[in-house]
Amino acid sequence: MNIDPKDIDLIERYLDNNLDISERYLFEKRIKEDPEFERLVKTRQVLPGLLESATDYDRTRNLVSDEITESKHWLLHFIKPSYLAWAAVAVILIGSAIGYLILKHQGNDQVLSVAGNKKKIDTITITPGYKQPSKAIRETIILKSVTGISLMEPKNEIVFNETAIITFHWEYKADSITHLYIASAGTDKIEIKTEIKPGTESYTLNAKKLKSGRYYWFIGNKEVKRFFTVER
Amino acid sequence: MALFVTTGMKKVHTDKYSEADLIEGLRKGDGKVIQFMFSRNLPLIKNIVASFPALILEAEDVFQEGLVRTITNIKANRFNSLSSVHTYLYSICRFICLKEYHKTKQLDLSEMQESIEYQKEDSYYELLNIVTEMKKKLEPGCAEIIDLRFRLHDASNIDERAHKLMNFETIAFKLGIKPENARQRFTRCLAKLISAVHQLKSMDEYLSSS
Repeated sequence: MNIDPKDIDLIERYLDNNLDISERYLFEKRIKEDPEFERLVKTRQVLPGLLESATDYDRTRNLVSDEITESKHWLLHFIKPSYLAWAAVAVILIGSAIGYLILKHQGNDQVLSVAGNKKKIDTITITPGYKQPSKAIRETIILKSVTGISLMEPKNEIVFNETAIITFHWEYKADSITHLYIASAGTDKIEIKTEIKPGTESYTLNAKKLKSGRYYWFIGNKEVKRFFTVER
Repeated sequence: MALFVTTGMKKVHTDKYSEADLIEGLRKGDGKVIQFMFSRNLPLIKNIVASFPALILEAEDVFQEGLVRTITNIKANRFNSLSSVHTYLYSICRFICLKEYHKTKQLDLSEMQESIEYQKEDSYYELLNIVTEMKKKLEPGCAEIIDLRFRLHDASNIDERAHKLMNFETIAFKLGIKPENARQRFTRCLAKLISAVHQLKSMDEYLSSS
């Protein structure tokens, strides 16, 4: 609904006390008789206060918006790309240091084992009744953690002919039963699995028991393993 | 600022600002207090907004509108201190979400008993928003002459200004135009502004409460 500017002019003159007596009389009579005009006068009268409140409301909104932006900007300051880059470098360095220390610790264990005192070696001979696990069954290697194992002989990547008697030698410091595994390097298939009791530190195998090929052996956990090859 | 104190399994949020400090800071528009309110309350406002999954509302927008209303109510002495300023803010923010939810579902908000006290207020803020927007949309020079006539940039008290309009001779002198031109421009601009707000339901409510 459009308001006639003449009505606004009339109201302004009334509010400025610029109407003569007859105009004022007619103006006040109209207010009483015309609800629309009465409402218009009331609207005009509350408008300055409303505009003042609206201005203050808008100002407060801008202030709050600015402070929220400032608050977020403060947070962003700490996650800006350069800080992220430095954080990434720090993580990499710390990770590398931890990795190095772990590897060094493992290496020390092996060195200590190799350099250790002479141990009593119990020779286990494969009896004629020894039954090799069926090759048809592919066994799952359970990577359980076996502590205190150091693989001694044969050294890595030794080649044996089919007539060789291979002696596997290790140091095992724990007091629980574990297993020696010999697996095909090509297929990861377990070819030989034998129980290792605490105190047993060697195992002898006739190379004839294995087909020609590359194998690896380990005790309990294949994370530490040695490779060897059998040739015909 | 905010501290977290661990008591067994529960984290208790304790504030460095006292309730009185917060109210005074908000009344004065203290930026640090506003930033504190933001960091302290945004997670809870996010929870409120998340409890209305059907709504596409940004928690920050809800917080901003809620805090602006809280500050405006504090300035106008409409905040009665019966609850903490944080609880008051949550109630307003919850109402804002509730209102949007009812709008989306086309439900009648007046049926919600808990929201009655905020509905009247909401209508007032809606009116303020419309007045602000309409004033911004007026042609150049209109807002200026309306502000001059109503003395909106005077530092004196609003009640005095309401009864003390600037005459058109003074306005004309300030704008470098003739008094009659000032009068015509003002009446034309004010007619446009009143036309935009005169028939609003929220104006009805405002007039009946004034």
